[in-house]
Amino acid sequence: MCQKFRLFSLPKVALKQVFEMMNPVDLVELSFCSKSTKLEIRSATIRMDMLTMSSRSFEMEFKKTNQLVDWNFGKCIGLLEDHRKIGDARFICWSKQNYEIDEKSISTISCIASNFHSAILTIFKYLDSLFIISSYSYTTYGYKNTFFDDFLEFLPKKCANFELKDESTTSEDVYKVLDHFNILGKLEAYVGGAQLFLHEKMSSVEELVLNGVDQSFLFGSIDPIKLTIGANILSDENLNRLCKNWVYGEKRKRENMKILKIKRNDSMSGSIELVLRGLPSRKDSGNFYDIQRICDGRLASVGFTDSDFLMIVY
Amino acid sequence: MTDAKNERQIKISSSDNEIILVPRNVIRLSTTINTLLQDLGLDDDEATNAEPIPVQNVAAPILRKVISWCQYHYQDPVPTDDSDSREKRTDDISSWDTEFLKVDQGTLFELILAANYLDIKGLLDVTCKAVANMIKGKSPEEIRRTFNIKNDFTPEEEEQIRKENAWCED
Repeated sequence: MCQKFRLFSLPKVALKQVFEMMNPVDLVELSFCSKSTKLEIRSATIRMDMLTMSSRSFEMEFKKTNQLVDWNFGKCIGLLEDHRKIGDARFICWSKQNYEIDEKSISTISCIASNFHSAILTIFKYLDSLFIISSYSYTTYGYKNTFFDDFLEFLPKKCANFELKDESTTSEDVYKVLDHFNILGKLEAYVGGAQLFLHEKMSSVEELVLNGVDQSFLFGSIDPIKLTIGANILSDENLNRLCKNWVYGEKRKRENMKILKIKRNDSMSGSIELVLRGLPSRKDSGNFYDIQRICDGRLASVGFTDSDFLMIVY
Repeated sequence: MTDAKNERQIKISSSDNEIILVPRNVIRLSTTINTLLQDLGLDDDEATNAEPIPVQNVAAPILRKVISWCQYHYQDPVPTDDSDSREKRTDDISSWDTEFLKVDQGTLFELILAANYLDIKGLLDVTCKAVANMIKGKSPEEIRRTFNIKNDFTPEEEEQIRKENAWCED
């Protein structure tokens, strides 16, 4: 019985199990062997839980096997000894490393693409066709214009998290992202000035972390589980109205919200008594007070920390 | 590990008609045979089954090897659905299994087929890990050589890749 191992003659169940036990980097390498190996991997429907795209790297997360792959396009480790070609994209100086942190297996692919912009999209499409990807995350930091000009229209609508942290981010950028993607997890956007207004698709996002928002975010029809507002021009009066709306308002308007965090600014006195003016409240601990919603009896603790106004709903 | 020798024996026959006796508790690891024994009412009988249970797809040398694996592992905890979804590592093969898996590639292939046919989850796990380890860290060219994978890129596509990468090889 001295013969080569007939990998692709294994029963489908066993072959899928082999694929699932392999390091994802090895799986990608196996897919380069031939067109049919790629097809076999694709038909085994291997799940990638999250693909995160950032300026010069992809992060691939596989929860079932507790594995993380960091695919970096902008650096080279080791000698110029290996290269790959994927579709029309060419990669030189291809190297791989494996290590473990807290029982998580972390693998890296470091390579340099001959044409960075087309390569990153090629790899995205390649991974999207090789694996079943549950969620996508994006961060535009460092390549915002390229992202909007060259990538956005080709990316799937489904999106877990999106980060827009470039200093030059405008409200139009945020609206473009919301128009294209259906974001379900977290949207983090830093926009200068109070120029960001509510967008209808913000209502389906679980967590919003925003700068430069206007009052509509406190009184509009969004209901994220967690809302964090960074730099803002909100006042004590705005916060008082927010608390009154929560106490006397309809349940459906703030059904999901668990945490509201608003960065303190010069227009805020920092006095919780002023914010709760005209509202029944009970001193909780330290500088925090409990308020109760009339419609369902739900409690919330509100107060100021050194840096923020905080409302935690129980 | 308790002695399985005094347990009730089950008679099974390989694809090449060799009859092998295996303790009931040991062959319990095979869901296929376990289900068969229960469905045929043979589990009610205290005695050894007169007619051997045919294991059509597995030849005697492989079947004996499978049974030796089961004999070592028959007291392992039963894998649950939960354990199926937990992390699947390939570097945690026990020293006994490592020795057990020191076989040629043809035998490893037959062991996977047998584990799959007999539905022995633990054996399928460990043999698949061994295959995953055969690929670990290899380049596409090394993987092709290991598994005799035919490069099905057309000559034009190959030439194109060679030309584009030529300067890297200088």
